Amino acid sequence: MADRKRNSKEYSRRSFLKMASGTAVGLAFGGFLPRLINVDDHALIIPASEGYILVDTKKCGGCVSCMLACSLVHEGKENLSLSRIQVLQNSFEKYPNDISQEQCKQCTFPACAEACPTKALTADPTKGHVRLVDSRKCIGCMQCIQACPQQPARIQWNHEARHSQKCDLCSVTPYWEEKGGPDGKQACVAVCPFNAIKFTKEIPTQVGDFGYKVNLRKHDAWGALGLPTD
Amino acid sequence: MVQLSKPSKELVARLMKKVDYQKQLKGVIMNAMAGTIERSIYSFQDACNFLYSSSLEELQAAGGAGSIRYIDFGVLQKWLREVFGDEELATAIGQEVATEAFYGKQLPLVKKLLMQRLNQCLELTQVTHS
Amino acid sequence: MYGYVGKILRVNLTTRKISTINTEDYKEWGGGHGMGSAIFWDLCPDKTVDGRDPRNVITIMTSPLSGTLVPAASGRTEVQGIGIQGHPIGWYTRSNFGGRFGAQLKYAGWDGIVLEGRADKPVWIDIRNGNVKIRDGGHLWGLDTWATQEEIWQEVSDGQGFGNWVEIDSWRDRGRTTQRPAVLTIGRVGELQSPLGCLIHDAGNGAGQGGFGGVFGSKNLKAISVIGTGSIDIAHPAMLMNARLWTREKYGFNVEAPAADVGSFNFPAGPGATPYLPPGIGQRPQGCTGCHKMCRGRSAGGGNESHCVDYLFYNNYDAAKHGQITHHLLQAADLVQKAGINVYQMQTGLIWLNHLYQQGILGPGKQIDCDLPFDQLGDYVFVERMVEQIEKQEGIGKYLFKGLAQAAIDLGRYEQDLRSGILPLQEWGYSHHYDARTEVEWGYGSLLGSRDCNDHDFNVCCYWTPSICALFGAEFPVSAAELAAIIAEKCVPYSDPLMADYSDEGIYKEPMAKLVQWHRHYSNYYKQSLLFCDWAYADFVNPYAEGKKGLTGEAEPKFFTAVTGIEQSFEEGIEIGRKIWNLDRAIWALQGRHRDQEVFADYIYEVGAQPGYTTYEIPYVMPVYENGQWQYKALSGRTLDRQKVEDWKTIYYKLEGWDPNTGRPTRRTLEGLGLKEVADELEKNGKLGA
Repeated sequence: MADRKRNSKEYSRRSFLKMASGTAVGLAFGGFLPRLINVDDHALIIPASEGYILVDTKKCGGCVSCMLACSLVHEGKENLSLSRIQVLQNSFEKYPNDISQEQCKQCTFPACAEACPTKALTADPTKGHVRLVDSRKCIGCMQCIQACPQQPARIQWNHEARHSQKCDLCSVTPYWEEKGGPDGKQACVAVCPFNAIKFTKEIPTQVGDFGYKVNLRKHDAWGALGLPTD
Repeated sequence: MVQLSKPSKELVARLMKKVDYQKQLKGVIMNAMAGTIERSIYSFQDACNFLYSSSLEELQAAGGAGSIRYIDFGVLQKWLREVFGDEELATAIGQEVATEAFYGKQLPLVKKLLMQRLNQCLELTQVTHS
Repeated sequence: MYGYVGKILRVNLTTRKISTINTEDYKEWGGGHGMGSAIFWDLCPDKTVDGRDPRNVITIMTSPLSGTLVPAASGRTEVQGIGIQGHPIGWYTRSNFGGRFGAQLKYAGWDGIVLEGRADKPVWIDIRNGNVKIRDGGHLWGLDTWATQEEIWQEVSDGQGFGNWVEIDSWRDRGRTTQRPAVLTIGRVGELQSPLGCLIHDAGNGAGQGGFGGVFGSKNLKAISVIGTGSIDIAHPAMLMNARLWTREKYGFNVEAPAADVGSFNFPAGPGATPYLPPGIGQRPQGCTGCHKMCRGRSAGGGNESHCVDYLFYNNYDAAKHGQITHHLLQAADLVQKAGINVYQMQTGLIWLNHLYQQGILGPGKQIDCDLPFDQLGDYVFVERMVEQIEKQEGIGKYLFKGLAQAAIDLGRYEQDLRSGILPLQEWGYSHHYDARTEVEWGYGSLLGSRDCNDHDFNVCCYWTPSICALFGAEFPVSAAELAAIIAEKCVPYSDPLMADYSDEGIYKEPMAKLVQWHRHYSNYYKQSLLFCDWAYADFVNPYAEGKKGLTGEAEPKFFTAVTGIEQSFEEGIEIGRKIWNLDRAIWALQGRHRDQEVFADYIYEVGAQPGYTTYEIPYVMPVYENGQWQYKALSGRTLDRQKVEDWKTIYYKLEGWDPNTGRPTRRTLEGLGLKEVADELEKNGKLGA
């Protein structure tokens, strides 16, 4: 309880409901409402991120250019272990089970931020509430990694710099001249040869994966190339 | 499209029979990246199946995987005449080929003619084929 | 160091000693092939040993661009050593494979691997970052290439499985990864040291030519596995990212609006995938690390990563028998990958055997006894039986196992079948790929080297695109004159306005020799050393580009500088390629190479168009300069003139600064390249050009 208060702003129930009616967060918060209701007359809200990454795992070519671009623009080097998006593949598996793309969901309720004891991992209000790590405050406890409900965890342990890190929608990319963040560009989106990664400002459905793993094959030449669009 | 007359039983028998090595027809499969691969054709049915056409757009879309089936139509006509005695089909191919200037446009016309004759043969031998 | 990671792994399988070589000592050679040849020169004193001799040194090299965002230059790995496929001599040769291996090797902290000696029993090499172990491979010996890789994956993950972060080392600060180890392995024919043996990585990345699978087998080496969590430092990260996006915007395939031009299959081409799958089978295009075009695919029905000859060797038989492509093809493709068999030899072997069968020479109880089920040619079972016989060295497999050239010799058919062309081994016992009679730069480049050159640089713009356009009546993307001008402009420093003249006269002249010169030098450096992929580079004509001029000449140096921080002009790179080419030529000289051996198979000189008949070749439409004009012209049906080829070779040798009497490099040329010690060695062995 105390931890959650440190990371979030307190709203009265009335102001929460007002906000909920005016935004699209109602469905997103559906699964989490009981937690919020339990807190006296106040609801604790971590503002939703203003941006999300969607992927089409049936379109992905497994080239890992997204991973290479991610580590390049953030770290200035190439290292798949430091990429904040992960593409896993098994070349002996049959399509479509041979590849999975695992991006950070910028969860509306970020368990990673909740778990962080030093407020190193927050929803940064200066960057569209993107959930990101301030490496200066990270003490390397890896609680954020353990808290992530996804597998593989969407927070990486940067073993070279010894701190956690995660997808920040390219909010902080010292090695790229483009403006990033929810109002800017994302390296993985820009570099994907087939546009199998997309940025959106709409909050995806928070239940399961289908809000984040979508079909991006219907509105370009994919079908005309004889490739499946279903 | 020229409508071929119904073939005689003797012609059907010749067309459905495999030819020996000296009477083979040579086709070539042109591949974008893997080179040209020779294909020896030993039957009329094999020749029909060998030839299929892709459009220019399909070839472009296929990129490095693109492939074309090539048979010299003059040689095909000669083969049909000399090996099978199908003068009508050979002449019809000549007529269709003359309506288009380029192989890629001639191929679907020749393919249709070949399939027309093949299906006639198969009907007469009571097998359907598409 | 930027791009490079600083160390090359050196493994002596005899002594089991593991040591390192400083990359800095070989950096002047670029990477890949250049480094491999230089290391081979230093570590293999007797270049005349057989490929199966433990003294043969094998190099498996990456480049500074491997594992980076450079498009179509991140995924390939170069393998070199004395091969066992070449006929009559297993030349010092090369092969190359794609996928993830080279990148993982870099992340593990290695620029390459050098293999020496022979293990006393089957082993595999386990590389996890800086930890390298030679492990017992007895339990892997006999497994197919896929089963081997899956078994190694389990062992390397130490039971952690996949789908999550895995610690590959003892503690978290050595890094974690979600990636599977990249494994390079051999199948049964490799274990048995057949020249048909190739190296396989993942489902279908293959170093197919050269017989390196058999060489691994001779060293009792079953597999090499590598997984890394390290970093590759990039000199100019922002520049690299910008350059990548620049190629995407200006030169690359646009999935939203594909270019209208036809026939491009290099840099700007669309994804390959497997376009002739049976109907209704889902698939995706799939590519090597860092690639922008994804030339192969994976499907719901199998045939993963089989996209070229590993597919085409059998698709027409399947379609001929069943009316369309079926699961038989996909199963056959998977089988040859698992078996680790060079499918080019399978393809040519099938053509040859079928000819003999149709003539009544081969079959059960025939002059050549063979019980392969030719009535089931097109079914999976035919390929299954053929592979089984090769692996067991039974039936016709007993002959095929030794490679096609030797098989033909043992069956008493070598001369006649190479003369007629029914066994199309165009040069050095390698399968006919592109025709030396028409596309001479291909033939010449292969003849002067050690194997089928497999360099498509001019193939796409000078042959495929013009031929497709001619066959369909489509407009040529550029006129023949424009094409010739683009080629001349980009082929520095040899730029000659008549380089692209493939006319009956032009193919024997000096401008064509300059084209071949440029081609060998470009390929040796940019493609085989820096590992720019052959399926993307060189890019001469690009439908997306301004004036349709491709990115070759500008992109390669730009990416090299972005990654390494080294300023190097395109022309300087070509000169390094010349140095590498001369070093290889010196190695071949020591192996006994003489110009008299550099002749094509007889059918290249003797089999052409016969009146009223087509030949093996098809309308081969290429640029020619005749009567003062450039045009595209159909060239099929011609043969090469023996004497004119000999005269052309003389022109070529002189251009390279080689002795025209022997074809061997001279002291002056070698010393001019900083290779005095090479000249000394050649002189000591009586192999120096005069």
